[in-house]
Amino acid sequence: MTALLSAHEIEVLLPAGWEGEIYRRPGGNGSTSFPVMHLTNFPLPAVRGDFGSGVVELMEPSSVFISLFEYGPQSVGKALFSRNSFPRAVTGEDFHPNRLHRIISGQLGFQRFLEESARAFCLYIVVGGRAKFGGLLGEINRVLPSISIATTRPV
Amino acid sequence: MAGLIAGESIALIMLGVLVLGLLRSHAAVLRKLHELGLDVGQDGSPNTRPTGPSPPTPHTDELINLRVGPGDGLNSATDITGRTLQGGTLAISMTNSKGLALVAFLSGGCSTCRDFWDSFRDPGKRVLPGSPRIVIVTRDESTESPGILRSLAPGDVQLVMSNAAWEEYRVPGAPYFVMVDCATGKKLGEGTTKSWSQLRDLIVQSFVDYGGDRFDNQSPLGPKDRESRADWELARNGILPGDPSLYNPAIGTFQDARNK
Repeated sequence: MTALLSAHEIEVLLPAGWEGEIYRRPGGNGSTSFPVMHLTNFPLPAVRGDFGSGVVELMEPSSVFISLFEYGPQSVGKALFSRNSFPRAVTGEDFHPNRLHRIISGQLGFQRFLEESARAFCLYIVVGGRAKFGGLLGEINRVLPSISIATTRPV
Repeated sequence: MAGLIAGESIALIMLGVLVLGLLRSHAAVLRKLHELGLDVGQDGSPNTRPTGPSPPTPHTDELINLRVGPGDGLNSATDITGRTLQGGTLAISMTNSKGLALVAFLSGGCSTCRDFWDSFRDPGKRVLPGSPRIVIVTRDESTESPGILRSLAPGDVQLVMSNAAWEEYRVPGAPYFVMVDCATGKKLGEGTTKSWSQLRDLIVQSFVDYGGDRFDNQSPLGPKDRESRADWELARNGILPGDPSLYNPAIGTFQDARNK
């Protein structure tokens, strides 16, 4: 069974066994927050950080965690973001332990800053281990093409 | 004297007629509210009920067929997708771990649900054998007040608002609980109870009856906590919450012990 997850002009079709949340943290003290999407192929804990703290500690070798974190409109057009668009597929060479925000033995990370639909994002992916890496890449490459990002409507 | 007795008799008859009339009108009001899909709890607060095609009668006071073996006659659990209280969306899978999930269908306006909300907010209270993942499902903003739900919801338990889930799980009314084996996606049991302690006792007992130890250490959200493990070890040996052997008469209650 697949599930359609949609909010804040971000949409994804989740394969069976995957779950996720699209959220926006409440702003405070004049600050503005932007949407974040988390996807996992294992139970997503309720309390977690935007880049997976609280999640990656629970991952098994067959686990995948994907975070799509939006930066503000001030980041659009900056070199860091504008060099890349949203990847529809990733390869094994894209993953390395040094790309993890928090090094956990066995885990591999992927990180890319990108622009899509005039919005700036960081796509961060963690896989739990190398043992089933090929299968996990297949799962990730089924999810990534189903993610669509629309232009934000003017407020 | 005879006149006084006759007068009192007439007054009593009139009072009786008045009480009967009041009871009839009260029953008519309750019947009308029920037809409109609104139940009234013992304290007079409304219990929201699902609308739509006639739901099955709620099974009060028992968790029907709850077991930790194959759920005979029960359907597979479906994934749950809906809105969050923060305005986002959340999709929960019922087939992506080796552990259990307890899906709790609650309402912000249901007086019976209050005990469950309070217990879910207390991490020390919500421990269960097998450490199931707890997922709270309410109806959406058309029925529920997000403000009330925010004041009741625990911050560390997934809460999703989904009318579709209520319909797919054929929830007759809140509170209602479904235990799911996430390795197979099968429902192990479903039903309702009046209190968290009653629900907890039923789940503990079902673990004893149906060999739930196979779910030990399968919790998807971290290692089992000591309290849950202790509860389960005691239950496996026939010592359930409230068992007199848990209380040392020389010490008295836990509170007595603290005061000493």
